[in-house]
Amino acid sequence: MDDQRPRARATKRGEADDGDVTTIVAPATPAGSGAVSILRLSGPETFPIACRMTGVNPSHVPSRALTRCTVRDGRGEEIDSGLVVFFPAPRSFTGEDVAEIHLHGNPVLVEWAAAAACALGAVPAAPGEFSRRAFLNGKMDLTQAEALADLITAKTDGAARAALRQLRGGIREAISPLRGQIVSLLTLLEASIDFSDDDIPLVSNDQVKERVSELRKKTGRCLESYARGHRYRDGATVAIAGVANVGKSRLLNRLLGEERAIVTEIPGTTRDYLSGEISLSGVPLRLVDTAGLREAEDPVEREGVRRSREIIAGADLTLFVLDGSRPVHEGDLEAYREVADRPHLVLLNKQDLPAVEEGALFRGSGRKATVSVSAKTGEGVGALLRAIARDLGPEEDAIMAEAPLTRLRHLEAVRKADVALGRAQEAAGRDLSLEFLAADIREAAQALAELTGEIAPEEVLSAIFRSFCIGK
Amino acid sequence: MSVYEYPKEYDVVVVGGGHAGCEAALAAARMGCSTLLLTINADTIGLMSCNPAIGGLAKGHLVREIDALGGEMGRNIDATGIQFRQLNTSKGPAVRSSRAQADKQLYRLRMKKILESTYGLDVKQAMVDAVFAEGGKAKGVDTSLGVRYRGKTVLLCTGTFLKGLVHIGLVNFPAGRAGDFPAMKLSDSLKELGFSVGRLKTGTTPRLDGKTIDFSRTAPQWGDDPPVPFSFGNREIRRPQVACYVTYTNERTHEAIRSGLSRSPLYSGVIRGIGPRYCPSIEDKVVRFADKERHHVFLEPEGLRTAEYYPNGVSTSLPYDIQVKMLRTIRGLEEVEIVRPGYAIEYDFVDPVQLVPSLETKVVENLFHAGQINGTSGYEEAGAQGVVAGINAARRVQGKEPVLFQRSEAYIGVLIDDLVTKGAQEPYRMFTSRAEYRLLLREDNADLRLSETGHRVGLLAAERYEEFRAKREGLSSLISILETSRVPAGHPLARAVEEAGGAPVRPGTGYAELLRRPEVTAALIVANDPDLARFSPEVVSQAELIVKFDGYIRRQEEEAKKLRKYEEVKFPGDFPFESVYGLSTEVRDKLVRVRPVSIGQAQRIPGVTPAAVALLLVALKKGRAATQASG
Ligand SMILES: Cc1cc2nc3c(=O)[nH]c(=O)nc-3n(C[C@H](O)[C@H](O)[C@H](O)COP(=O)(O)OP(=O)(O)OC[C@H]3O[C@@H](n4cnc5c(N)ncnc54)[C@H](O)[C@@H]3O)c2cc1C
Repeated sequence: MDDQRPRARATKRGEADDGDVTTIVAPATPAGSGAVSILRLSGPETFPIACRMTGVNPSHVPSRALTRCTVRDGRGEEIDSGLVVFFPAPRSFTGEDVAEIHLHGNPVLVEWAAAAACALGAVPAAPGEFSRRAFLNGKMDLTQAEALADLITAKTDGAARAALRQLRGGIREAISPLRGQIVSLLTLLEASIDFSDDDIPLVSNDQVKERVSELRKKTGRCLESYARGHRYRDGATVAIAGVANVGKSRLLNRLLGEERAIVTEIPGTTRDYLSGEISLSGVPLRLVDTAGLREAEDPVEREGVRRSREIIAGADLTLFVLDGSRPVHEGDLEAYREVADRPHLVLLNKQDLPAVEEGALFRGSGRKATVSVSAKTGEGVGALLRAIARDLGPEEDAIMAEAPLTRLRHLEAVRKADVALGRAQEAAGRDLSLEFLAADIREAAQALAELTGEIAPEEVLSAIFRSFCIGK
Repeated sequence: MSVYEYPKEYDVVVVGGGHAGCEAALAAARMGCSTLLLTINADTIGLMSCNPAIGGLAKGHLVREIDALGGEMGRNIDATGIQFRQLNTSKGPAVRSSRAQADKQLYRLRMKKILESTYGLDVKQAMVDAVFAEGGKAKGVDTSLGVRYRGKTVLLCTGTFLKGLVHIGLVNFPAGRAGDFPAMKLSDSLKELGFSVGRLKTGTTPRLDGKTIDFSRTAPQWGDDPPVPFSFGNREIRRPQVACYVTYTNERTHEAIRSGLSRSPLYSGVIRGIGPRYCPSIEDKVVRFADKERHHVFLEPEGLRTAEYYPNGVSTSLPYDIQVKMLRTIRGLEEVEIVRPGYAIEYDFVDPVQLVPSLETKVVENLFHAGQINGTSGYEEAGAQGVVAGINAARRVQGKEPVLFQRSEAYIGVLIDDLVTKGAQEPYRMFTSRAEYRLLLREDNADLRLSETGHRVGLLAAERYEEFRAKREGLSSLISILETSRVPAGHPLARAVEEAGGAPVRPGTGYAELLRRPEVTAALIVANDPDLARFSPEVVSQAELIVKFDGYIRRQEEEAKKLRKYEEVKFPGDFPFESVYGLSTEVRDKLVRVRPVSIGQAQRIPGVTPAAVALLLVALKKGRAATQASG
C-alpha cells in the first residue's frame, strides 16, 4: 500500500510562469468497453514515468510510433503486455509531453496502471483537463474542438452515472459524513477569527485537535477501505492457527476442497505448513496452515513456531481453531495470545462431536466472530466462508469495475485531505495561531470538494450567523 | 424643463460625496483627469452615516489596501482618529486588523478640504436625476435644476440615497439618510437604461447625549498605546486618545424590546428590503437568540467637540417610545436622553452582476458604479470600490486597459470578484473568511501587494513610492541575510536564545532555522547582531512572518499561481454564452446573467461544473478559429 502512495512532486519554484506543473493521467478510452484501453499521461514527468512503467526509453524509439512493451508498476510487478507511444512536446495533443500506454480492455488493469502512474508521481486528471491543457497551449483546431465538445458531454453523463454508483458504497459514502463535520469545525474557527469582537465562545487548540483527529479517523477508514478493495487484485492471506490436533490441516483441505475453483495446491516448503489458493467472491485468498503454536524444545520445531508467528503477523485474517469437543487448556490460551490482537475469527471445530467448549474465553481485541464448523463433515463451512468474505471482500467491487478513474481521483482527494488534516494536528500541537489551523482545514475541505461538494465561504458564514449572535 | 448645458466637459463626473465618491474623485483627479464631484449637500461630504469608526476585521485590510494604492481613507483616519486598536492580535498575523474611532466631524471636514485642494477637481452641490446616455454610452448627467454636466465617464456613488425610505416604528418617510434629501429619480433613469434594480435595508443606532450617561457604571476601554497608524506613510498618531465604554443589555431591556415588536416595521412586514445578517438590529438579536441573557453595548464617542455617543450594538427601528424605554434599562443609561433616534433605511441598489470587474457597467459603456449602490455596506468597502472605479474611469479617458485585481492579490480583488460573480442578495461586507489566500493578504504587506500598481497608474505619490521601494529592498536584503547567515561559535545570539529559554544553539545553525523555532523572534536576532540594526521594525517583523511561516505562505502562493492561469484566459466581450454547445440550461442561464470575463471567473460562478468549463474552453477556441477564418 505504502509504495502505491502518489508522491506529489515538489513543484520547482521560479519555473516559467506556468501553474500546471503536474503530470496527469487518465484512461483515454471510455471505461469498461472495447478490447483495448489506452492510458494517457501528460505533463513534465510523463516520459520518466512511462519509461519506468514500460521499460521503453523514449529517446531510443521513434516518436509517435507504437512500441511493444511489458507494463509494470513501480515495484516491477507485471500488469500486462501492451504498447506504448510517445509524443514529445509541443507536437502532442496537449502541447506537453504525452505518452499513451495501450493495455487489454480490462478496467482492473487500467486502474492498476493508473494507480502505478500515480505512485510514480502523476495525478489523476480532472474531467476535461486534457482538453483544458490542450486549449491553454493553443493546441486545438476547429474540428478537434467540435469533436471534443461531443466527447465531453458524453463523458459528463458517464461521470454522473459513475458518481451515482459511487453513492452505493465506497469512498463517497465513507466520506460524506465528513462534510458536516468540516463545516462545523470551520464555523467555529472562522467565527472566532472574523467575529472575535463579538461575544462568542472561543475555540481552544485542544478542541481543534480533538475534532481533527475525529476527521482523520474518517479519512483513515476510507483509505483503509481502498486497501481492502485492493485485495481484489492482490489477494489476501488467511492463516490457520491453533495448537496441534485441533484439526487445522483437515480444515485447510476442506476449504480448498469446498471451493471448486482451486488454482494451485502447493506443498509447504517446510514440513510445518501447507498453503493453497481459492477465489472467494472474486478475491484470491491464500490459505496458510501454520505449525502448532507452542513453545518448543526441538530447534526445528522452534523455527516452525517462529515462521508461524510471521505468517500470522502478515496475514489479513487468522482463523484460530479450537477443538470444540474438549475443554480449553493452558496451551490453547497461550497460543491464542499470538493472534488475539490480529484480525481473527475463532473457530470451534469438531462440531460432529458433542460440544464442550463455547470459545467464551477467547475475546481478543482483533476478534471478528465465533464460528462453529466440522472440518470432517463440512458442516458450517459455508458460514465460515461467508464470514471470511464479509471481512475481506471488496466492498466496492462494482465501482472498481465501472469507474476506475473516478475512484482513483477520490482516493487522491482523500489522501490530500488526510495530509492537510495531519498538518492541522501538528500545527495545533505546536500552538500555531488559529488562522494556520483554519488554512489547513480549508485545504482539506478544498481537497474533498469533488466528493463532498465545494464548501463555500458563504456556507460557513451562514452557519456562523445561524449559530452565533453576531453583530454590534 | 429646458436644459442648460454646462459649458465645460469633464473627463470624469462623480455623483455622490460619500466614501466611494470621495476616493473615486480623488483618484481620477490625481491621475490627471478633469473631475467633477456632484453631491446633494456639500456639507455632508465624507460624512459617516453610521458608526464613527474606520477599519475593523477585514475592513482594516481594505483601508491599508486603499492607502497602498494612493487613496485617502487611511491618511484621513490617521489625522482624525481618537482611538486606535489592533484587533485579533492572537489569532494570527494575517487576520490582525486595525480599527480606529474617528472624530466624525473632523473626518468629514478634512476629507472635504483634501477634495477642495486637489488640482483639477471641482466640487458642486447638485441633485442628479438622470444619467445622460447616447448610443449605449454615458455622456453626462442631468440635475434637478435642469443642468446637464457632460463627462467622458460617469461614476455613480450614491450610497443609500436612491429612493431611500427611513423607518422609525411604523412611521416612515423618504430620506437619503436621516436628515438628508433622498434621490427619488435617479434609479428610475437607471431602470430606463436597462438596469435591474433591487431593494436592500440597513439600520443604525440612536445617538445619545453623553452628559446624561453615567460612565461610572460602565467599563472604560482604551485603545493601544502607542496608537498604530493606518497609512504606510505615517509613523505616529499625535492626537490625544479617548476611551470607549462597555455596558450590557439585560432581561428588562429585552422585555421592553419585545413589548414593541408589534409596532416594529421589521416584524410587522412593512420593510421589504433585505437586511444584513451580520449586522442585526437589537430586536433581531433578542428574537433570534432568545436565551442569550445579555448583549454587549459599546458607547463610542462621536467626536471631541460633541457630547453625542454612538451606542454600538443597539441598532434599532423600534418606535421612539420603545427606544427610550429600552435604553433606560441599560446600566449607565438609566437617565439617558436620545439626541437622534435609531432607524432603518430601505434603498435601491443596482445588482452588481451587471458590472465587469473594472466596475464599469455592462449595460452602459463609460458608466461605473461604486459603493453601496452595488449592494455593499461599509465605508471601507465603499472606499475600496471608489478607488478602483476612479482609477478605471481615468484609464478609460486615457485610452488604457483597466486595472483589475486578483483574489490572491488583494481583498479589493475578492470584494469585486464576489460582487460581479455572485451579485448581492443581502448587503455585502468583507470578512477575512471570504479570501481563499488569506495568509497572503495581510495588512502588513498591503504595500508590497499594491503600491507598485498605485505607482504605475500614477496615483501613489512619488515620495510614498520611494519609501516603499526602500522598504521592499530592505525586506529582501534582510530575508537573504537571514537565509544565508549562520551563528558562529560563541556568538552572543546563541547565548541570548538560550537565555530566552530556547534549546542550545549549535554553532553553524542558520539564522532562518533559528527563527523558525517558536521561542525565537526576529527582534531577538536583530538585537544581537549589530549588522542588522539598520532595518526598521516593520521590515523586521515582516521578515519574521515570511521566514517563520514559509511553508504555509508558499503553499498558498503556489495554489494562487496555479489558478491565475485561468484568469488570463479571457472571453471576448461579445462571447455567445447563449449558444455554447452542450451546456445545461441552468448553467447557461447563470453564464448569461454574469457574462464572466475569464475562465477563472466562470469557474467561480456557483453551479458551473468543471465539465461546463471544458465546454467553454472548447467554444472559446472555436470562436477564435472562426474569427481568424473570417478576419
Ligand atoms: C442608516 C444606516 C446604517 C448603516 N449601518 C451600517 C453598518 O452598520 N455597518 C456598515 O458597515 N455600514 C453601515 N452603513 C453603511 C455605510 O454608511 C455605507 O456603506 C457607506 O457610507 C457607503 O458609502 P457610499 O459612498 O457608497 O455612500 P454614502 O456614504 O451613502 O454616500 C452617498 C453620497 O451620494 C450622494 N448622492 C446620492 N444620490 C445623489 C444624487 N442623486 N445626486 C447627487 N448626489 C447624490 C449623497 O449626498 C452622499 O454624499 C449604514 C448606512 C446607513 C445610512
